[in-house]
Amino acid sequence: MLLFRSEEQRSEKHIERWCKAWRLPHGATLSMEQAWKLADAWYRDRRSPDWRRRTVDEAHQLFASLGLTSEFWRFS
Amino acid sequence: MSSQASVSRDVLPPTPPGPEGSNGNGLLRVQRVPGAWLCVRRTLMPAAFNNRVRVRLYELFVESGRCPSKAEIAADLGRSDSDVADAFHELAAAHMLVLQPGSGEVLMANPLSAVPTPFVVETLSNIGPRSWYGNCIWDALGVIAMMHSDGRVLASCGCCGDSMTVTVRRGQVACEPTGLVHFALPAKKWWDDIVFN
Repeated sequence: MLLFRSEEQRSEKHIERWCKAWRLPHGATLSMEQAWKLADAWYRDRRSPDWRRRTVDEAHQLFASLGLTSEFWRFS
Repeated sequence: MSSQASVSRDVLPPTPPGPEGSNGNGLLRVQRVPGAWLCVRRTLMPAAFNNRVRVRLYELFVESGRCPSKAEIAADLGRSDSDVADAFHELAAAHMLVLQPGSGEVLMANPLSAVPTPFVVETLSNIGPRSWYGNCIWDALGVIAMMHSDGRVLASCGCCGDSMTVTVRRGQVACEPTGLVHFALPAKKWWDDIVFN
């Protein structure tokens, strides 16, 4: 997961250039706000002794809460 | 470790996708080789011990600012190096850690990286200012979240290499210059090559 410049509002020019250089299809793009919320929800409790892995359903629910509902965000 | 076998990929269900997968089968799939899973059968460590190793790993990492070795965790817990090595392998098989090939030492205790990466994270938590490495931009932001602190990520554009700084202050994120995060691989492929991902 990489960070890219977006000079104009949500311009994906830099992402498209990178995908072309790596011969990869365009993946999924998140705003910084979405990325931070995802990181916060995913890792906030990682050091806790009570931490456990999310189930696939729980992960899907978390993605959905951030508007990430496409097939791209499904583990199965 | 009592036996080792190369098992046809079809014998076992596919690697559970994503970080929430379970290895199952009583076999630890520790390495994928072309056309087969390299499986190792070993005496499973109690889940409570694995969790103790996991928690202590993070505690020592945060206290010292660097990733502890198997030997350091073993000495800290009063256990043998091989007990900790077994726990590491089981945690890695369960996608809770990523190990370095060969040495079996920790490469990633997500969101922290044990080795330098292009994602430098600076945090300002109750232990004072600290610097870390994240495995990717998601993990770099995750370090700030895990430390329950304000902080910033010093990174660069994946395309042109221009310097970028992502700042998190009181739960609000800002990026200078403006940026976006790109996930190249879909969720079900994240663990196919976690280092690339």
